[in-house]
Amino acid sequence: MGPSGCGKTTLLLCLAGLESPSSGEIYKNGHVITSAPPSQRDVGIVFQSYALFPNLSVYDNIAFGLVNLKWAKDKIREAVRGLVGLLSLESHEEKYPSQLSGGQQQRVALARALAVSPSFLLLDEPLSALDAQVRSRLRSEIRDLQQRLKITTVMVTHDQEEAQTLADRIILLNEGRIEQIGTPWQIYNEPATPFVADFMGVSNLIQGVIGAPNQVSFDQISLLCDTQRHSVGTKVQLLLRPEDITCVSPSRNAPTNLLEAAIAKIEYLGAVVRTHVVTDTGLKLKVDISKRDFDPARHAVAQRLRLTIASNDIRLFAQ
Amino acid sequence: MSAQSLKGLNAFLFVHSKPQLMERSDWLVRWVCLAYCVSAMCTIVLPVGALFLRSFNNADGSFVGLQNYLTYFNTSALFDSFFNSLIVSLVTATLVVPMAFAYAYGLLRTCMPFKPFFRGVALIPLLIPGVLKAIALVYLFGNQGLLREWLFGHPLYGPIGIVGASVIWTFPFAVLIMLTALQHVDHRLYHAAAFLKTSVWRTFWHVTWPSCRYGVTTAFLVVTVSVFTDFGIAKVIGGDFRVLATDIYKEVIGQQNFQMGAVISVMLLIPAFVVFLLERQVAGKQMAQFTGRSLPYTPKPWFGAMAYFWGGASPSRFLLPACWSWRSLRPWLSFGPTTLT
Repeated sequence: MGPSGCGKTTLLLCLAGLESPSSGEIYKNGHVITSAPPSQRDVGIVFQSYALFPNLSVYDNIAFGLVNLKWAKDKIREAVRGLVGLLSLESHEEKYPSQLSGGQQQRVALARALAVSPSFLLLDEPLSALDAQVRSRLRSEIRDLQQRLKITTVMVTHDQEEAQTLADRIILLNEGRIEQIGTPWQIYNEPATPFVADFMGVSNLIQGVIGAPNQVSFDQISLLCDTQRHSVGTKVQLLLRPEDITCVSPSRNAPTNLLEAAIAKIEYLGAVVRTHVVTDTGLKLKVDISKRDFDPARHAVAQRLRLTIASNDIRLFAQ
Repeated sequence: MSAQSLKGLNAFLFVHSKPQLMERSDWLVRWVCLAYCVSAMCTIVLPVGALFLRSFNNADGSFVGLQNYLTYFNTSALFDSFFNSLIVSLVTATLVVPMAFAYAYGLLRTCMPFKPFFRGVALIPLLIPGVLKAIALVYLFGNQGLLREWLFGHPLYGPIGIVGASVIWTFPFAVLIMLTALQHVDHRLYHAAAFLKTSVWRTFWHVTWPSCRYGVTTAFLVVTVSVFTDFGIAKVIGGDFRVLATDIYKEVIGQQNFQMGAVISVMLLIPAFVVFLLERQVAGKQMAQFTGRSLPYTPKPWFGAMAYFWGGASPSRFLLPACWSWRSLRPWLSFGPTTLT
């Protein structure tokens, strides 16, 4: 995963053998395949643009690779029937690609790639060209399929939600470099760099300085947090996730890490209400209030809020 | 034309329109279209129609039905030239199209060196009229030619010469069409084929060929019709070999047999109609080639019509009625090529 232009598709094409890396080696099961042509890599690939053979029917598209392998006709029919059932394309076997919707075409492309039982599968932004509903349905179908067939799959995407829901492991790329490798949980909760923090989900990134042991300061505010890995006086970036910032009712005693702020803008996102606040010192923050805690009377523009954040929810990045 | 009759004309021409919703530019477009319809009428329908009618008249201008056609089909010398033309043009197309395909394929799909040079060499003949190529062939292979022996004693003047010169003349057109057709192929399809371990032959047959089939057919039709109707090459290098284009010249200019000239001209129109029908057929099939992602462009009706007429109104369309009207005036004029006798 990565922003557009970060080199993720280039990396995929290198794995596929359609591009050759200027340096380095590619290994598959311990064997170097850096200079092997695509046909000898035993991989299935699905492109964003489907790339189905327009003059062949759905059946012939799926059977294409098997015909190349010179399978017997009835064996091919059996295999294609299986895939057609697996990808719920039953009533479309005789149709041509131009008669199918985008989601159906991408399913055919998936079936065609899987037909030859490749040892791994490469997906180049397979869902980007589809509309939101089809995308989320096909997303879970791809995951189910991958789990059922137990096939190693590398998927390229710029959509963090897609990556988080589909992946066992995410490699986050930026400007041709790996920013972080980890599980979706690690990537979100333990981001290695401010870039990762910003790319995954919504974040408040603030410039600060370590004022004293276990204390970070910015804009005349001091917050308590774990500063063991940074020495006093170094400049740092703070990450405050909007959902980690909580509102404190005025009646309660002032907690540690208190921030006084006024509401500037409210966005209703469904499960949460994203509140844009400005602290008394002029700092802009995003705060998520869950639907359950949201009180239209108290949470309105220009109303004052008392906010707090737990010390262990603050992440620091050295600069 | 009064305002009232203009309104009436508009109502007649544009039945489906809602005048109160029309912009000024819409009116402009419609009047331009009307102008082009009229010009197309004058420059295509009338001359061809007149020609067609003339083929049913005798020398005095009275109606004789199919008499001229019967004469034509019963005169084997005349009828043979139809087949001569057909064979020469089909042979030329059969030679040129594979050559052009291979040439364009080489230019686009290989890493051969000096590509711009080869592209230029193939296309430069576009600037030279066909007749000059025939003359060049005469210099090379004619009775006094440098390379006369290469024909193993066969005479240049005749079908060999016509086909040779026509091949040289039509090759660049075919190359141009093939270049466009081959550029059209989706590159990802080759990648997909490669991953499925597809043989070179099967890739060609299932990826390259379906995508450029239309181009190949178009090139074949263009070459066939060009050669079929060409006059210059046949005149210069044809010798005693009769083709339709030279026959018309002989009938009209040589023997002043206008009605037979008209019959031959109608025969000359046949391949144009066949090509028109074939082209529509192939284009219809080609539509199925587009996938859901690449939709073909469909022009809006009126602008489309305008573009059609605009494209059709080449200067030759205006020359045609000029010639035709001059020919009609001939009886009242005392000069011209047909009064030399």
